[in-house]
Amino acid sequence: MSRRSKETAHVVFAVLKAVLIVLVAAGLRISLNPLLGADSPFMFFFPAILVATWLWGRGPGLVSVGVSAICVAYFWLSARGPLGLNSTAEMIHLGLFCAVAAGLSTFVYRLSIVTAQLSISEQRYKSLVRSTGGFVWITDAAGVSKMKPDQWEEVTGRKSYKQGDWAAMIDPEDLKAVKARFIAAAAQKQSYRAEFKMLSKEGPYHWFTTRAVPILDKKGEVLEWVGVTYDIHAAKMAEAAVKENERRLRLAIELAGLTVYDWEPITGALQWDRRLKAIWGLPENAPIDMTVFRAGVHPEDLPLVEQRMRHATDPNLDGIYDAEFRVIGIEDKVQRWVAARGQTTFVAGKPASYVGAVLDITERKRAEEKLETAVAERTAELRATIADLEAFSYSISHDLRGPLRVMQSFAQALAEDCGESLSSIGKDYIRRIVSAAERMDRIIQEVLVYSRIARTELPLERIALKEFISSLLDGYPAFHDAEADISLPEELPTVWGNQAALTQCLSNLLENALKFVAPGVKPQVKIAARVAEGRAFLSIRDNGIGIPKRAHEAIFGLFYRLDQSYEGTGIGLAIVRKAIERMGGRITLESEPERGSTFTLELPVANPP
Amino acid sequence: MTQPLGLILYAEDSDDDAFLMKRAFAKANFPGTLVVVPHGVSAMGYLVGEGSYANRTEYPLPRLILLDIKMPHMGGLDVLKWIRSSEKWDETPVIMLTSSSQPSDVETAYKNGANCYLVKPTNLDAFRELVEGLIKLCALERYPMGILSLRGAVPPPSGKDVANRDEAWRRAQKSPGDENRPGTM
Repeated sequence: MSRRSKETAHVVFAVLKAVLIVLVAAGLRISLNPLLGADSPFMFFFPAILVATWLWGRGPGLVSVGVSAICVAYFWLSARGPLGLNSTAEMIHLGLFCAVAAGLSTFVYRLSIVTAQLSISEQRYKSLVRSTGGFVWITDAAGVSKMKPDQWEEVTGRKSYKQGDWAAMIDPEDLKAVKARFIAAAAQKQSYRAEFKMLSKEGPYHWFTTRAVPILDKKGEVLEWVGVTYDIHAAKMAEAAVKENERRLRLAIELAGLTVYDWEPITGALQWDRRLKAIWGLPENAPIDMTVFRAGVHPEDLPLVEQRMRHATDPNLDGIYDAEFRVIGIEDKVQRWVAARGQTTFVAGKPASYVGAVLDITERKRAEEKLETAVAERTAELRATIADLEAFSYSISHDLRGPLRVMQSFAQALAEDCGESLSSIGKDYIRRIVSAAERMDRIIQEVLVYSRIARTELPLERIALKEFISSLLDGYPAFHDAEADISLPEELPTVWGNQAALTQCLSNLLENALKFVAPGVKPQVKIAARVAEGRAFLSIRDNGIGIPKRAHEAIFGLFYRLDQSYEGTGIGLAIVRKAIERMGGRITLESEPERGSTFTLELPVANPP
Repeated sequence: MTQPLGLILYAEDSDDDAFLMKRAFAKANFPGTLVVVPHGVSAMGYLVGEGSYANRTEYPLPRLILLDIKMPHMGGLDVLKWIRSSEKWDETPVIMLTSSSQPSDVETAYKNGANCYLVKPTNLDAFRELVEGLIKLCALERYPMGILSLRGAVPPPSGKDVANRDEAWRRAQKSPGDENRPGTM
């Protein structure tokens, strides 16, 4: 069926329904005839006409008027025959009925159209509100909402609504603020808005906003409030996040002591904050331009700053500005050190914008200067101490050894020049004097060696141990005479060491090995080496008297002598340990009484160059 | 009173050391003269011929100079510097004689043109050996580099100073007036 024929069928159907309802009304009236007679038959037809017009439109309405007139004329005005109107009065009645009914029908028709339009308009309006995720509400003048707000269920997830529900769902703190707003708005009879957190379907305490308008009556009193409430949670959260980020950034900048500034390359305008102005020694309200900027820079540093600015604004370069310079406060004349960094953005080969940051580094610079001064002072003190030590050892060697030498020499001269007149006892005394003087001289010399080893620089060099030890043995007759047996392996590693210090170590150890043997025993010394993890371990094993465990540590101390029956000063091993430690090595000892001793020197291995 | 082996000038503040040295020279029958002056200033006075030292017959210029380092008025190192600042004494060997082999002293001495740095003998045998060496040195026509073989000699700490010393010696060998060299005095 075509659209047109469908419409036609619709119209025909509507007309038929209009005729039918009039006939029903006529039937009803006829059934009441015994009761009412022929009095005012028209009254029954008005409702039918109104219903027909309201429901089916203007055409069916007019048809129902016509049918009603025919029905009345036929059944009540003239029982004699159809349309047999026999009196003028009846004709007038009928005419009036038709006119009034047609008028009413037209009015009702208009009313139905307006109502429908209103309904559509309201529908549209509500849809609009719904699309915001909110709802519309109406309250009385006191703000009490008796009706369940539209969309209530959709927003809150609650089916039922009773008075007061709404207030209960708003965050109590926020509710106070909302109420205050409402009271203020009510007093002024003006609209208000409020934001608050409210339990919603989405979760506890979502952010909502409300806008409400008072409807006034003719006297100007508030009749009711109409409002709309909608969900602003997402926006609110985003806003809070932005604010939080901003707060953090500001905090970070402030904590870092940074001041941020802008420069507009085109106009040359500068934007400085309060703190940056303070660095330039200016009050908060001081106007700033490039002249002011330059005026504050220390004249000696200005060329550097200018050069860096040229760099930053050169479109062929990276646009980075980076300078450390001094600022002399324009008003307060205080000198401050600053570090400035910035970045120019170029558009079409021209500087378009610039953002920079300035940091006050005065404290750091001051600390650096202090540190430098402190270091210089300490160094000077140390130098002085070393100089004192040197002077001390100098005077020991000159002033202490001089008299000793004289004592010794004159004791000998006494023996030589006056020997004949001396008894054997006298000669023995002289021998004792000489030997004591010799001994003291040796102690002084070794103390000097020790102090020299302990404080002088020991530059490290590559030392091939095989050649080094061989030539050392050649140089000391005592080491290769028939009295001793020293064995050296075919190969020895190369180490990092100081020639002089290592000579001292090895000759002391070898001398000890040859010296500390039981009477009548031929000294046997075995030198060996191994390499592990970049360290060389050079061991010197002897067949001497050995060292008890308890003395293993003490033996490296100054003036410690294990056995007084052997000649010695008690300084030799202290020198060895000090020297080896100064060369970045270590000395260890394995020994037991009467089983010999093994001293092991540990030094860094040097790869051949 | 020119003697076969000429004169050795010895600056020494210690009477004891001076005595022991004199004794050793006497014991070795030194055929020359040992003049001991008590400090650096009088050593300079002797060399320039001040006062009675102007008499070069009695006080001829030394064949060899021995300097103690630690002395009142003027130390041996300062005398050495003064001596080496003039070409006049280039041919005269200067030997530092002192109690210790303090490395800084050794270095300074060789840097400033000392021919040898000696540590004073600690006993009479050593004195004897040293003096014998010195007498041999005086007897030589020219001073060989072997000067370092003296008893108690401390070698220069580095090759650079050896080079300095050699340079001083080359200057000494080349200098004019060979006939006036101490050896021919």
